[in-house]
Amino acid sequence: MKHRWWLAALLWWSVAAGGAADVPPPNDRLQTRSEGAVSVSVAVPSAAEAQAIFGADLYAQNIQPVWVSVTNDGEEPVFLTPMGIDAAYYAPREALQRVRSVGRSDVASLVESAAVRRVEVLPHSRRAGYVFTRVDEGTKSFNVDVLSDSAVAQMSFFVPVPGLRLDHHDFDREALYAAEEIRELALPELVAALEGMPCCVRDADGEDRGDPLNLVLVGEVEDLFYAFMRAGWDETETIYASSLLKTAGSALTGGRYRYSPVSALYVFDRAQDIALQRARSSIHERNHLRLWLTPLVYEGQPVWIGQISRDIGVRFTTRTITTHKIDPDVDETREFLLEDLAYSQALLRFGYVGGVGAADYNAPRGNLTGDPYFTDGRRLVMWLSGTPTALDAVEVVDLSPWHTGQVGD
Amino acid sequence: MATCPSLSTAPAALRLIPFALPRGLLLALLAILTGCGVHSFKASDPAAAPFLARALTQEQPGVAITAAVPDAAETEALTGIDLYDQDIQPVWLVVENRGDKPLRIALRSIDAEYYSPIEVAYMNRGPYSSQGYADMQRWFHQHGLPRGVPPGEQRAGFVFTRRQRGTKGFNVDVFSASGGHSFTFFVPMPGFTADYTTVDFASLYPPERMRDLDLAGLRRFLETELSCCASGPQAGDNGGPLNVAMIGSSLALRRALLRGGWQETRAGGTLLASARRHLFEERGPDAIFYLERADGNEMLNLHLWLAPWTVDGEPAWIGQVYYREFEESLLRGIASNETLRNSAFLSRYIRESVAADIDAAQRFLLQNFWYNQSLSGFGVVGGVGYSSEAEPALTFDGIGYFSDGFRHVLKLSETPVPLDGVHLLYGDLALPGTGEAR
Repeated sequence: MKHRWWLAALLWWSVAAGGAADVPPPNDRLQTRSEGAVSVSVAVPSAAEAQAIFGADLYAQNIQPVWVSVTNDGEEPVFLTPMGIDAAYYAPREALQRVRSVGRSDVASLVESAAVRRVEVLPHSRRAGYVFTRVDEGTKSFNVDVLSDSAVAQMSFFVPVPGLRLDHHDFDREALYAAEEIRELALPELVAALEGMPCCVRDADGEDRGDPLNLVLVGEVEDLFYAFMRAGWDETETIYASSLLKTAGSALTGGRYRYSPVSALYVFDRAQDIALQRARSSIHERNHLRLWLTPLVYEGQPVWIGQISRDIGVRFTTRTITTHKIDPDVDETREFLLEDLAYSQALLRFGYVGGVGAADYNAPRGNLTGDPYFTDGRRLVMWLSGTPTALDAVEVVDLSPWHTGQVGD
Repeated sequence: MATCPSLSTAPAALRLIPFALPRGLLLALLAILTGCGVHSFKASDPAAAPFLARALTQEQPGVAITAAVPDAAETEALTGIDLYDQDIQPVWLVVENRGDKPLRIALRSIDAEYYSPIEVAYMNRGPYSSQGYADMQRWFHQHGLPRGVPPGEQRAGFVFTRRQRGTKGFNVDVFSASGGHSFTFFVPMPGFTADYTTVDFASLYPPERMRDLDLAGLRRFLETELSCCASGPQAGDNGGPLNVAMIGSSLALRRALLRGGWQETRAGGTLLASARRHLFEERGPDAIFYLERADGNEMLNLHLWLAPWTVDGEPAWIGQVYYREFEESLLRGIASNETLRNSAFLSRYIRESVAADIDAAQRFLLQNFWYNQSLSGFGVVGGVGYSSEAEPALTFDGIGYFSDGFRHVLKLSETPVPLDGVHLLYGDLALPGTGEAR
């Protein structure tokens, strides 16, 4: 039990600090981020480390402790909300109830004294402790919201558990595009460039056309992840292509792809740069989203092109044996995403450009697995917001003056 | 799309089987073997369905929305499918755009996890023949509520929501270039009467008993005048602590609870009957709501009473939020027995039970309202009184608890508030352990 000294340290701190267990987990994976007068550090113990700290197998009960420390150097109180980290976080005793069968009273006091038990962080003070969340395998990704009377500091963290430090800020556009390929465009040129983009995803050979590329996102990668996580997109099975991340190479081999839920589709002769899923509580089915970074830049922000589909079941195919049956009404799925991001306060503005071209209900097109789809043919362009944008502040941009009528190949 | 056998597509080889099987039976067998149904799809016209007699209409400048919700039997009569059994509840909406700009309906506002029309069809494809499924998919597609309503026109259709027990409450948000409109419907369902619908709120207090407080006055009142706790059946009984005070219209309150996923309780129902023994102003709660954890057995309870005071003219509510204790009958026995009350069991209960940590429930409610965009302000005030695990408080019905002793004041908004739009009602925040003595 090489971690036993941590237990002792924790107990000592519990006493010395009056119950506030001010002890980061036993690893060197501490990540720190600051915004204004607020500084946030996080770390996530692995299953074995959690066992060593708390004397109980929390992971086996679907509990993953996240250590959070908030330092408030400002003049007004701020609030650390466990619900921002996991909407279904476990209150300390909910966590305790799930491991109580071990029958050790020291577990009770450890779980309780180590937990974040109050939400406010007073001026010039610090609060640290564990928030008990649901388990994510591989990388733990979560948002930390620090709210105050006048502002909200939103930070996304990606913590490999255990493994290498992975900084999503280091996403590497240069690895994908040469400097001369990257183009900063004004709105009319952006619309034309987007309408000239490929119509559809392709298979690995680049031959057959698949699902329509029916959405465009404009925003920094961190705003993108914050927005999707806030909207309930499943970080558990999120995969990031190693091509996108400088530091990802070794962290991405093996383990992560065990969970790979999303088959590779191709645009710009490469598989998706980012794949996300939105789990739904009621049924097994999910929404899938794939994004590719384009060489375009608008007002300093990267432009992404993507495809979204809603699984409505599983069916058999001759080509892949089984596949997700997608909702043929792909516009329905596209418009749902728009609403989902708007309701998550992550959408700044949106508009439409031409895309794949219309296909009627009675004359649908097929994707790579033979599923039919019908569509109005448009491509939805969404500008993401780095700060919360109220629903009624979302702006609709009429892009039709710049439509070219071109349908990309 | 799955291909099911038909007379024209049944493999030629099967037609050569030298048994004197009728062609139809052969086809049926083949259909069963290949997992394909044989039924055709028949549905009724929703525009003529009997449940529309219960439709409710709301109007705002430029928009009128009519809503009706078929119950389980009516849904099956309409579609031939028991959708309620799959926890799907169709909501029928008619949206009339009386303005001069296109209107957009945000379907997600009605249910963040609604089912798409073709998804519902596909989930139920089993019994249908190939043609039957094609007909069904088309019917669901055509009867799904479209998102766009041109100026001067109306659109009608179903949104397939997750089933809710009791009153069907939902929002409908619509947007146009001239702004947004937010509607909230509470559609009563046959066979369910929510507890608060039987309370005559207007006659609870005579006008001379009502007092209007400002925020500072509310704080003074909550900290120095209002008792710590509800009362109980006997004089001098201490009920659960009154640990939450709310300010807002009943609409704001119902919207907040709806957005937060809280469920109603049935008037006269046995569920939570013991909770109704906790009294304020000598009556049980006007409304009890509960929130169940999806991946566990924990249940948060919220008891609410209309308060005999207003805050800057707005209605006010006093309440209790706590985790339901499932061992309550056992604990009641312990509480009434002097020896057991001082036993190690009770102290272990206080140390480990979910229900004893009432501040955790209070914290959850605050965040629940904050994240569901219902909160415009909150404050932390004293009044409950400090108690600890070593020296817990005990209710008349045997629920032991400990608390830092604070009340949360939650100011609610009828319209959505962004995360950073929430204001502190009282600038100073007390430190833990400083709640005044009971």
